Amino acid sequence: MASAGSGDEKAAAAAMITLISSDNEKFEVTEATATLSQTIRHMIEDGCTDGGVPLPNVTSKILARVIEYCKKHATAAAGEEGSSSSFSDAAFLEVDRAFLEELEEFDDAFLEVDRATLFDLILAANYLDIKGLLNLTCQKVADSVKGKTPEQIREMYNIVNDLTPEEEAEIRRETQWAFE
Amino acid sequence: MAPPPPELNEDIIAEILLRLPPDEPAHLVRASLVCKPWRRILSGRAFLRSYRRFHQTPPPLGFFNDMISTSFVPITAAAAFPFSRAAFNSIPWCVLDSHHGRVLLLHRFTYDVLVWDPITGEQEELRNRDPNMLFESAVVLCDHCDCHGGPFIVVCVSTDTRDDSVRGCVYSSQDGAWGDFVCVHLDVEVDYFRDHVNSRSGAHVGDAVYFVLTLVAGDRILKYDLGTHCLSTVELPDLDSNKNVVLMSAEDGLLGLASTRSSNLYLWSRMVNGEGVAGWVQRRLIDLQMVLPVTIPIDKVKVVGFAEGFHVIFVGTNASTFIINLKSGLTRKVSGAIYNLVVPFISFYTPGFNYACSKLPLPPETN
Repeated sequence: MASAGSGDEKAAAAAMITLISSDNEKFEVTEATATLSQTIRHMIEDGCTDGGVPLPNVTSKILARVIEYCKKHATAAAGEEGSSSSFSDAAFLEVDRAFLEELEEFDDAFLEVDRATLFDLILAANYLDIKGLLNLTCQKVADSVKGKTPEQIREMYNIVNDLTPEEEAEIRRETQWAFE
Repeated sequence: MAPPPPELNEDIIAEILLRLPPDEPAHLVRASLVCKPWRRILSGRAFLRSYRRFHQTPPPLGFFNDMISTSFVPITAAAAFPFSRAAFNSIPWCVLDSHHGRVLLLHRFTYDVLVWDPITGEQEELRNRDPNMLFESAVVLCDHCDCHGGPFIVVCVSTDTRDDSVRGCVYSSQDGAWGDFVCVHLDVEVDYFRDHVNSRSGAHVGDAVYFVLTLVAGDRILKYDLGTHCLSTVELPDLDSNKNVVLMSAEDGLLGLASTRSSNLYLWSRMVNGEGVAGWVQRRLIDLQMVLPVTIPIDKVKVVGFAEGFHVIFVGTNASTFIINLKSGLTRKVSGAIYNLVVPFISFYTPGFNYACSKLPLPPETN
C-alpha cells in the first residue's frame, strides 16, 4: 500500500484552510477540498485566507454538507491522477469504473434531502462556484420538473401563478400541442 | 414540518431550466406556463444561447415531408408544433433544405428563396436576380455558433444546358448580396428534361456542400467547396443502377453516403488510401428486416433522409417511415406514410418567441 501511504503524507503536508459559516462555526479542510470551490480558489490565490474564510451566505448545516461533497469529489480527482501511473490500463479502467460507480452512489445518496435543503445547496453551490455540485443539484430539480404540468410544478415549489387568466388561456391555446 | 424553500434568483432558475432535456420541447413549454419570471427567462434570447451551449447537439424535432403541400411531421412526443399548422398551406413554396435550425424554401414559379427560422419566426426573402438561374437545389448554413439570429449563407445550384455545366452561387446574409456565379463544365451533354441537381439532396460535410447530380450519362456527386468557392464533381460508388442514395456526414467526419438494396441499408465513406487516392469504402451493412420493429417481411427499403450531427437516418419501407440512430442502433416508427425524400428539422426549441410571426405568410398571389 505504498501509494496510499504517500497519499496520506501528501494530505498531511497540504495546507489546511478554515471555513467559517454564517453562524460562526469553523471547519478545517484541506486545500484540495476547498479549491473545488472557484470562489475559495481565487481567495487562496489572492492570499486572503489567513484567519479563515468567512462565508456569510452559508449556514453550518449546509456548509457541512457542501464539505462532505467536496471531500468525496476531491478524493475522486486525486485518486484518478494517482492511479493512472500505478495500474496497467485494464486494471485502471476497472478501478476507474468501480470508483465512478461509488461516486454515483454517493451523489444519489447525497441528494436524498428535503426541498429546502436542496435549494440551500443550490444557493451555496452557486455562491461558492462549485460546478459539479451546482450541476448535480440543478439537475435534480430539473428532473423533478420534467413531465409535470404547470400546476404540479407550482404546487411542488410553492410558486405563485402571476399570469392573468387571459394570458394563461392565450398561451395554452398557442401551445396546446405541449399538453396533449 | 419542513421550512419553506428559500427563494431562488432568476440566474439559478435559468440554471435549472437549462437542464430540461431538448429532445422533448414540451418540457420547456409547460415550464413557461408556471409563472411570469419563468416565462421571461425561457423566452429570452440569452436562454436560447445558453441552452444551445449547454446541450451542444440539437435534436431532430421532426421533418418536412415532400407532399405537394409540404407539412411538418413531428417526431417528438408533442403531437404538433405551432409552426406545423398554417405554415405550409401555400403551395408555391416548397421546402428545399434545413440546416442549423433554419429552413430554406423555394418558390416554384419565381425561384425566389426564403430563409425561415421557425423558432424565432424570423424570415428573409432572397430575390432571384438571374432569370436563367432556375435553382434546382440549395442549402442554408451558418457558422453554427449562434444559429438563431446569427449570419447565414445559402448555396444554390443548377444545371445549365447552354454550356453543359452546373452553376452555383452563394448568398451571404452578412453582405446582404449574392456572390458571383461559379461553374463547372461537364464532359457530357446536359439533357434539359432529365438532368438536374436533385432537390433536397444537399449535405454539409467539412468545408463543403454536396448534392446528388442526376445525369442521363451517369449520376455523380456535385461538390461546392466553401473555402475556395469552386464546383467539382465526385463519382458515386458502384451501386448497380440503384439510384436511391442519401449523402451524409459519416461518423468520422468524412463524406458519407447511404444506399439500399432489397431490405439492406449500406453505409459508405469517401476515404483516401495510402497513395492519396480517394475512393468509396463500404463501412456498414444493416439488414433492416432485423432491426426495424416490423413483423411483416420487408422486400424493399428506401433511404429518405439524414439528420446531421445526430447520426439519425430516415428510411421508408412498403408502408411506413422509420428513424434509425446509427450510434445507438435504436429504431422508431415516425410516420405511417412513405416519402421520397424528407428534410429533417434539427433545432433546439425554446418557447415564447413571437408565435404570431412564426407562421409563414401567404405569398401575394395566393392571397
